[in-house]
Order: sequence, then C-alpha cells, then structure tokens
Amino acid sequence: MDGRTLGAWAAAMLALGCTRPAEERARRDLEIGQADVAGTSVTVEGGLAAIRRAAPGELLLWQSAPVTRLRIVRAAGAPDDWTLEVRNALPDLQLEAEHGSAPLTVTAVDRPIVTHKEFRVRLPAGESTLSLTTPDAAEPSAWRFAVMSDVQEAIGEVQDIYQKVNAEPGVRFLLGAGDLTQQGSVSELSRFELELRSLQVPYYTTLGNHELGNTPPPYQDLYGRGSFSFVFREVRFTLLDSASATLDPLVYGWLEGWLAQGKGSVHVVAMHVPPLDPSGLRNGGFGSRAEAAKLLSRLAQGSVDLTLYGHIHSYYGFENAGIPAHVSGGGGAIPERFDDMGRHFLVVDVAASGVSAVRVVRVD
Amino acid sequence: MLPLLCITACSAAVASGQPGLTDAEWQRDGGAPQTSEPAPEPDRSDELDPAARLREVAIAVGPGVIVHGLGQHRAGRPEAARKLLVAEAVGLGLTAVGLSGLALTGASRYTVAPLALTTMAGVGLFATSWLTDVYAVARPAGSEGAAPRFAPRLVSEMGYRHVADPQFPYRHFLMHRFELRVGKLALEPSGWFALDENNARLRLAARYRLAGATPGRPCVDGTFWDLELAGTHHRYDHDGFRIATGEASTRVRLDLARRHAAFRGAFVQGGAGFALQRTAYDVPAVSIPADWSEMLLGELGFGFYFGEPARYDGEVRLFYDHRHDGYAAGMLMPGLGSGVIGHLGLDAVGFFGEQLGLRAEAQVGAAVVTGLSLVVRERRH
Repeated sequence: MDGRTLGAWAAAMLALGCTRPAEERARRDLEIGQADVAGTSVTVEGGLAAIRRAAPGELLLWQSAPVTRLRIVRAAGAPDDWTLEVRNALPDLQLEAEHGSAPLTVTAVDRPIVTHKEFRVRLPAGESTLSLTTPDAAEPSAWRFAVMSDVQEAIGEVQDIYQKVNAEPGVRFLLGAGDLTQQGSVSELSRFELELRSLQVPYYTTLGNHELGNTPPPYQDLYGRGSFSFVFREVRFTLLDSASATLDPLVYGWLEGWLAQGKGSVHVVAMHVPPLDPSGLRNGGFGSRAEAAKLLSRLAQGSVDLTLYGHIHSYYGFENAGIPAHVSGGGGAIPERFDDMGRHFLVVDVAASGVSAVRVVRVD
Repeated sequence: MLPLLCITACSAAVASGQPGLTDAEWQRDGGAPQTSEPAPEPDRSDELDPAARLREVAIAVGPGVIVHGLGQHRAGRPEAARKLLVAEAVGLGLTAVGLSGLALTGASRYTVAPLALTTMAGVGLFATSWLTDVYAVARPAGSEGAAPRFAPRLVSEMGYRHVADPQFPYRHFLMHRFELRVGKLALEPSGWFALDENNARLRLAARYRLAGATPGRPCVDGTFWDLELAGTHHRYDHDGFRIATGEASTRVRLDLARRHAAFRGAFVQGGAGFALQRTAYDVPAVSIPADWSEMLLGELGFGFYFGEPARYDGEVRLFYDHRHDGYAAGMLMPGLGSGVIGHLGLDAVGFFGEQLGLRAEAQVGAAVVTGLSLVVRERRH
C-alpha cells in the first residue's frame, strides 16, 4: 500500500458521508408558498400551504396548517377574477379577503369532499390579503387533535384508521410525523392523497425518511414544507423535518424563532425521527447523540409542552429532557413485534392552558 | 446469539494461538518465534512480473468483490481463495439472518441487539474477506510488515484534531492520551479539549488482556483479546448539556497469518459491548431531569502492518464503529437509511525507530474528524 492508495481510500471514505443531508430540503422549504403568474405574485405566509397550481385567475393550494394568510399583488393588466381551490382544509374553512382595509366579496363554492374548498374573489390591482381561517381559530377553550404516522406499505388498509379517526368526537385535525409512503414517489404520494378523501378532517404532516426514496423528493411540491410552525386556538404547533436523523442547521435557526414565539403558549413539537430512541440499543433516533441532546436542550429551554414522534412502529410514552414524549408509529407499517401494540393513533386533548390528556386508540 | 458466538469463536482462535513468550523464551528462540499454524506461502509466479500482479489486483477488486478470493485463485493459492470464499459466504449468511430478523421483528426492542450485531458481523466478514484478497495480491511479495510482538509499558500521545460538524461551532482540539500497562492490566486516560469552544471529552478506560502480548511477555504476533471497562464525561457547555457514559466491551484482533501465510501482515479487529448514557441538561432557571439511554457498541476493522521493528514500523486500520456518540457519531446519508449506522474511520500509526511515532486518523460520521498526533512509546529493552 503506498501513500496514493491510502489517499484514495481516505477520499472514498469521506465521500460516503454527508454531514448535511437535509440542507437541500431546508432550502426548498423557503420556496414553498410562492408563485408568480401573469403579473400577479402570490405569497403564503410562513410557507403554510403548497401552491400546486398557479394559472392566470386560478390557484390550487394544499394547506399544511388550519389557518393561512396569503398576500397577492396583482399588476394592472393581470386578471382580476380569481378562483382559489384549497385542499386539506378544515370543513368549516372560510376565506376573508381585504384590499387595504376594504373587505372584498368572497363566494364559496360547494365541493363534494369536505376537506376541499373553493372560493371566488375579485382582486383589485395592487396588494390584497386573503385569510383562510375558521370561526374557532382564536378560541382558547379545550379541543382535540389526533396523531398518526408511518403508513408506508399499508396504504391499502389505511381506511380502517380514517374511519376510527372520523368516529372520534371533536377531533379538529390529524397531525402526522411522516412516512406516509414507502418510497415517496409521486404515484405513492398521489395514492396517499386519494385515500385521504374519506378522512373528514385535514391531515397536517411533515415528512419521514420513507419520503426520501426519490431524488429530489417530490414531497414538498405536493404537501409543502418539511419544517413549519402554526398557531391554532392559541396552541402553537411546530413540525420539523428530521427525516434524515438530523435537523439541518437552517432549521435550528427557524426553530429558535418559533420557540421564542411559542414561549408564552402551549407548544407541541412533532417530527419523524425522534432525537433519542426510547430503546437506545436500536438507535432509531438521531445519528448523533450529541445533536439529540442539543435539540432536546433547546426544546426544554423553549418550554415545549409535548413532543410527538414517528419512525418506530409501536407506541412509547416517555419523557425527554423532562418534556412528555410519545412515539406513535401505528399507521400500519411493519409493526414492532412482541409488544402487542399494532395499528393505533393518538388523541390529544389540549387547550390554551395546557395538554390535558394523550390517549392511545387501537385500530385492530 | 450469533454475534456472541462469532466473537467467542474468534476469541477462541486468539486464545488457542501460541501463548505469549517470556523475555527469556524470546531470547532463547532467537527473537523470531513462529506462528503455529500457517502453511508456507506457495511460490508466486508473478513475483517478478508487476503486470501479472496488476491483473491479480484488477481481478480481486473487480469480479473479486462478488466472488471473494478470485485474486488468490489467480495468484495460484487455491487454499487461500477457498478460505476467503467461505468467509464471504458466512458473512453473507450472517447479514441475511440479521437483516431478515430485523425486518421480521420490526426491529423489536427485545431482539434488536443480537440481530444488529449479527448484521454487523456479517457485513464485517464480507468486507474484510474482500479487503484481505485485495491486500494479499496488492502487496509485493516479501513486503509485508511485521506484527508488533511487544506491548510497551508506557505510551503517550498528544496531537491536534479537527472536527467539522455543522451542528456545533467547535473545530480545533488538543488531544492527549496516556497508556500504562502493568502485566495484563492497562489503564488509559485520554482527553479532547476544544481550543475554540467550551467542549471537552474525558475518558478513562481499564483493560484486561486475556490473550496477546503484555509488557515483558512478547507474543508471536499482534493477536490479542481484551476486556474493557470505560467511563466518559463529555461536556457541551455552550449547548447546555453533558453526556456521561459507562461501558463494558470486549475487543479481539486476529492476525490473518494464522489463517493462511498469504495473508501475512494483515489483521482483522472486532469488538462488541454495551454502554449506558446519562444526559444532563443545564438550562438556566429550569430543573430538567436527566435522560438515560443505552447504546450498542460494535466495531469491525481490517488492517495491515508495515515496516520492520526497530527501524520503522506501524499499522493502518480501516474500521467501522457503531458508536453514535463522541465527535464523529453516526453517519448521515441522503435517502432512507440515515442515522442507523455508526461511523467509518481510518487510523494509521507509524514509528520511526523504537520510540517516536506519528498517528493520523480520519473518521466520517455526522461529523468529519481528522487529526495528527505525536506518539511516544517505551523503548524495548
């Protein structure tokens, strides 16, 4: 072995590793919710909806959050009649539109699927603000949401879970921590959306490692950002893209802001790969134990109230850095054996005053 | 249990080799003890023909990655080729058992440790049997290095390490390691100290040598079998946490000349163990309970010796380490499998004379660690 051979070995070894595998996705997150079409620019605040189609006078959005604000700047020669189709919407979603401080007339059009909405609005030239919201968006009283992750190859049986979620009274939306599909291809993601039509509430989710089977992953084009934060009924939700068993340093920068904004309110944080696997021998957590501790230290400093994870195909309730934590990977992917858990989802009771209960609902 | 059986089998091979020699026996044997097993290396038709050797290397690297031992077969060493092929088959078998077990059990917490170790052992056996084939045809005949037959009482190492980790601001480290051997016992305190950040990693390891060279008792080759207990304290003051680790492990090195003379100068090294970690958080004005977590330890490597003792000598080792802590931690990758595996490393140490040496190392995991250090070892009497 000469020096050159050793050098080649070392270079090959270095090439195998990649210390920022989520960087490209984080940068793409910044582009979500922006479009320019026919002299009109559209911006979704916080990237909380993916713009699936932008044509003159026509927008198709996929919502990642219950409440979304759009800023639309229309040039003088651009069309003024706009149709806004919103998918993954709360059944009681409304559109409030303003031009300056003047309200604009909005017409809602009935759609057969309860989570699909359509609105028509005439936009004057210049900047208009469109708010997609619900009557209870600012209510501080108790409400509930459900949590379900890790469907993967079990997409054919996911209707069993949706039926049970639909039967749970008072659930406003389903929160997901990724692994909707097996490989994350466009056809798998489309199938997932097709199956969602029977779910009576929207499904707000981040992505999991099983959405990374294609390069670049098409997930963000269809379902929006991997890392984002929103507030509903005075509870802050932050979803983080930990699909590569790490958070990109860009995401830590955003997280700092979201933690500061959520400091005075109830804050729920969800991501796919947990920082620490409750079974450390398996290490289904972050690639670096030190990074896991860094993230948990920040979440604790930010007074986060609840952490929700997927990735591990069972249920674990525990604490990390003193924060209540729940791993729930019960969407149907190959289950963890010998624990008698199987398919399940969580129902979380929450209010502006805190998280009052987390309940496991078995499906099988 | 399969990985434990592998380690036990390997350990048995280590223990059944020629035992260590006393200094007196070493002198009586003329300073050249022989290994008990290896058959004489057959004549190589390519010794004077670099082109023939190049063809053997091409075969070992190319089709030999599928059928291990093709390089040896081409070089006219069918027995060596057969041993590598068997090792490959066993490696593939263990890998298949481990992976299918993990899939069937959904990586259950109750079975994941033995199945993960089985997979590691299988992949390691597969990789090392291929690397052995490449090594054995690539090195010019007679150029193999001599294995270290002595264990110095004292070794001290000090050097610089660079850690490129996008998650943490530190980059530059001073590292120091000291090793003291008394009989079969060894004590090794070490520390990494960041020069540009409040970060330090202190470690104390105690080892007991079950087989292999000890001070005053040389061995026929570099084969050894150690048991280790270690404690680590890693401070991340800037980020508000500390990780304390206690661990127990075993490590085995087997000089491959014991398997066939053609592999002389090469070795494999593996280990397994268990660690318990406590992560304590220092968040201002908030009392946070510490997190406890286990960690599976596993290590596999292939290496070779170079040089000759007293003039210049050393070794190079390419290894996989399943650790997810420390500075390199676990490897991150694009795609589905990020974070599961540990890190890869390359470690090279060379001595210029009996005492002074240099170590260069590189590790790739969640961070890239590179470094160079000065090593001083006790002079052989």
